[in-house]
Amino acid sequence: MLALLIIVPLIVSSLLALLLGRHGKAIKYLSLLGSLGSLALVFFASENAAKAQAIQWFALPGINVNIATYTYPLNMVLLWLVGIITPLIFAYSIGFMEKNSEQSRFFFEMGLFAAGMMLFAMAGSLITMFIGWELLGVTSYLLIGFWYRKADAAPAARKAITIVLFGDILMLMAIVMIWNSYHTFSIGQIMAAPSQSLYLPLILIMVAAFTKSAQFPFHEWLPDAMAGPTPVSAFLHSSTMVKAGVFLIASLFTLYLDAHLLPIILIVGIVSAAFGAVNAMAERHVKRILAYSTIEDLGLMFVALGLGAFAAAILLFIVQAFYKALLFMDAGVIMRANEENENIFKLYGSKAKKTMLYATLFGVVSIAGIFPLGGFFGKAAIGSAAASTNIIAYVLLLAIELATGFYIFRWYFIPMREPPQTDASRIRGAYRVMPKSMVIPSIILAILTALSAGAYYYLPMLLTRAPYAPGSAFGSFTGAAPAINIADAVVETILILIGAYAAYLLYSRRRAPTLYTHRLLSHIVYNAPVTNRAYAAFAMAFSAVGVAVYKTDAAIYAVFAAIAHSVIDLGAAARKMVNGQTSIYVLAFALGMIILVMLFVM
Amino acid sequence: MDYAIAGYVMIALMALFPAGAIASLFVKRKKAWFSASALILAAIAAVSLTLFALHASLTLLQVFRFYPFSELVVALFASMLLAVDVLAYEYSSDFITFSAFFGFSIAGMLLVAMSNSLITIFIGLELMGVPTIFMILTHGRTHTEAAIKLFVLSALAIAVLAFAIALIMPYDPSLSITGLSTSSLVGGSSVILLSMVLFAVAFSTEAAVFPFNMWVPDVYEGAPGHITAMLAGINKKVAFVAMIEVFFAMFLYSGYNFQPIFALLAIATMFFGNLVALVQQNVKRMMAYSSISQTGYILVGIAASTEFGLTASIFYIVAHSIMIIGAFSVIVWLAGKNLRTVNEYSGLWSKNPIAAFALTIFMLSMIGVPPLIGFIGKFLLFSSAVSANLLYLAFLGIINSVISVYYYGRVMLSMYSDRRPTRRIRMAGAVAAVVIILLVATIAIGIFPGPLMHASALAANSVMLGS
Repeated sequence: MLALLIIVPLIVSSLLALLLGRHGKAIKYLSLLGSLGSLALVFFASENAAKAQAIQWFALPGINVNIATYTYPLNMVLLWLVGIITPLIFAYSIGFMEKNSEQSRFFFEMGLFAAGMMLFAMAGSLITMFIGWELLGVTSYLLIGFWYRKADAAPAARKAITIVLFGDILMLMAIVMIWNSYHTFSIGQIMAAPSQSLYLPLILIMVAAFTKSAQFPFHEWLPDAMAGPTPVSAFLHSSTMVKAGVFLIASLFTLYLDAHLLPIILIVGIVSAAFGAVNAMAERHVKRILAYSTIEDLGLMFVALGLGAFAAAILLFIVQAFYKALLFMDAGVIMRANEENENIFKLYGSKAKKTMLYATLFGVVSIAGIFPLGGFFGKAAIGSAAASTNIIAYVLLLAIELATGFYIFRWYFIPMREPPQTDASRIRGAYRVMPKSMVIPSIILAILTALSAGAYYYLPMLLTRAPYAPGSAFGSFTGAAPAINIADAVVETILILIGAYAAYLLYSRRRAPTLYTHRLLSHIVYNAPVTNRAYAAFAMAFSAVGVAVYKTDAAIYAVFAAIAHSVIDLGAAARKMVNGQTSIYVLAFALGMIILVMLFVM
Repeated sequence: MDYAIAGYVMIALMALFPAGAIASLFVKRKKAWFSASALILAAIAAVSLTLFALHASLTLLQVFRFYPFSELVVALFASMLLAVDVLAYEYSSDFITFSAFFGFSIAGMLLVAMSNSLITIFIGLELMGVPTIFMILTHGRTHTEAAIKLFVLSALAIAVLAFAIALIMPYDPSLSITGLSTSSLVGGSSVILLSMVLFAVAFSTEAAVFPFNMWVPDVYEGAPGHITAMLAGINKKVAFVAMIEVFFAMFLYSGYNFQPIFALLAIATMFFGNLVALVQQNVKRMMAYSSISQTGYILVGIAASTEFGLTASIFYIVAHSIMIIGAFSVIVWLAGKNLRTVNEYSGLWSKNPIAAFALTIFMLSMIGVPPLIGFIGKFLLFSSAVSANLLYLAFLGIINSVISVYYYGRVMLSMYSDRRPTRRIRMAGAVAAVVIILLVATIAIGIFPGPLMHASALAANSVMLGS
């Protein structure tokens, strides 16, 4: 089957959404159908054997541009992820957008966004890949800025597009340089013949991947992108957009290995993960906490790639998609029930939707990395890889794990507490009328989060064949299951539980006494002034670090803002040259002519 | 087979325009003039495309030359002029007067495209330029300033052009382009070099190359919309056609290297256009700057000074004509509804979805988003720069394409946001037809670029071969 067909249902349904306009009642169901169609085609296209296909787009002597696809185990994994998550997000969007009059535009942009990611995933040539990459960038800009009425949506979209476009420039430059030395766009041919001339393009591609995956110092756009609708956040953070960068490095892994660039990837990954974790602890915005945790997750994937633990990176790559989509969907449900409040201290849960509470708990347990859900395997595999190769990275990872346990349970406990008496009936009512289409996808995702643990066992099978260059270093990474050392896993689990317990004591015990019954241990700890103070100091210290990090963030943003401003100032200065006076124009003409003559004749 | 008859038919058809222009002073029937000019333009396009398909190549009356390049370009001009004719018919306050001047302009444009002599190029450019000034003038007092600016700068350019031709004269008094390229220019002489630079300056004015482009924003903004569309979509391309004829068929053939001149001009033009467009609020003015930056991209291919570069430039000349006339058709229509600034464009999506969609596609294409015609064009241009060892030029072009996302993006975002409930606004049927045809071309050629690309390659090849 032609792999390119996979994106056809999505593109057709999104074009239909556009054409039907705001009067089309069936748009949402059409879009859901389109995404299911794509999923079905992913199923038909999946074979374990690598398969290259190409359709000629245009050709001139010396240039041959194909729309080329190359499906092999690694990108089939990504296609499956996008294929599964897209219908769930679309189903969720049906409920989420039910009162919105702009469904046509929403589903059009979402459909193209998903198609862009799939095209990127299956690309077999640099040009095809760039088309998908660019489609992702443009549609994400439109989606983040979807609620243009909100004051923060337009600046957020602009920040995102600024950083993403910076990545696009680097990417295009890399493509031009590769073409200049290889005279081909086929990724397979380039992978098969690595050479010294690839060094600079690889660095450019790496930085481009960091911009797309929101890694330090390009991570700023991702939390701001929370200004977009929640389904967009859920989509952006789970299987599309931010995963593109990780996937890019993973698919070119052998080249990075040969070029000795892995240490840089490792360092950037660690720094980003630490930034994400610390920021997540200090943040109060329900979706921004999750955004920072995505930065952390992606950082961990880069850490794994940097350590050479290819399989561990892919494992986290898979499981993260499910739990992060789940958490965002639930954040959307909680916000909807609380009049779109975004501050976690103003959000309340309700026993009226117990299923939702438990579904969310699946995501929380998974992201924290507690046995036996998917997140545990991903994080433990990375920890084990670090323990055996790089002890500094290992220690840092442990600290990050501790922080993860803390912030994610803080994220869970605070919004899940019972509301105060005055609001209780209103909020309970709001939960009761929650559209089914917003709840059912998160239940499905909770199940998938649990099942994704199985990826640990199936991963070797998924990745048995070396994707591009047979016989290269790649083979040794794909054959074996990611190793998990029991001792490391136990240490990590204990740290996570300590973090979780700290969150429980600080936020759940004190503020929401009715939600959880007393337990002996917590009773003792809570009532012991010394431990209590120690925890308070612990929390204070974390927040202090958080504030410091926030300041650094602000500084980084200031740099970006300054660059943007200087470009605009330059524009204003240039505009002054064209001020409507003919004599100036004539002068410019004369000067231009004189300069040209002096330069090229004399 | 004898193509001479077809050639004479073309010349006769071209001559019909000035004749008709004079006749129009006596016969004041709007519809008749529109149908007549549209028919003749269609006939010219058809004959020209037929000649192109036959790869015809011949020289007539010593000064007219029909070969694939001129045939392709004549077909392009004729079809684009048809679009402008429709716009003028809808929007011109005084169509009869307009079409009188328009007739002379058309003759000038076609003359440049078919010319085989420096003198014909000179006359053609004059014949095209001077009536344009009057076209702007006759649209009322508010447009006088724009007309005067265009007049002053055109006068300077034409003087420089005359001087450049005069410098060539002693070397070969025939002034035939193909003759010159075969005979006497061989060997570096600084007089010829000076002449070459002056040619570049003269053509740069009409083609809107920095720093000879200062008139462009004022005139584009001040002129009536259909004339702006013509200036950006056709007049500029005529200057490029003249540039290609003189530089590729003449100077390059004689071994002169003009790569650094055009590389420098390309860089300056791209950056100037894009940076200034960033701060514009008036969409028409923004598009004027954007069209300056697009000029810079075309220059990248000329700077490559290879057959591949020329192919890319020809392709992009066609592509840009399609995109800019399409975009201006929408913008002119909106200006007629008193919608001019980026903010006033908000909600266009709900007022007229087709117009908003079309403008979005034209802008995305100008940015160079695949799979639209603009992407293919830029891809060819930058590839040609790379293969001519101008890697830096390709990089700067890429950076500029990315800068342009900001200002196009502003318009696009604005169009899709509606702050208040709005009424639908309608577009005249003929204008809508023009927009849709150009829209389809933008998308279709993007997806199937093969035919136009091979046509460009054939045209480029015919220029490089000389006579």
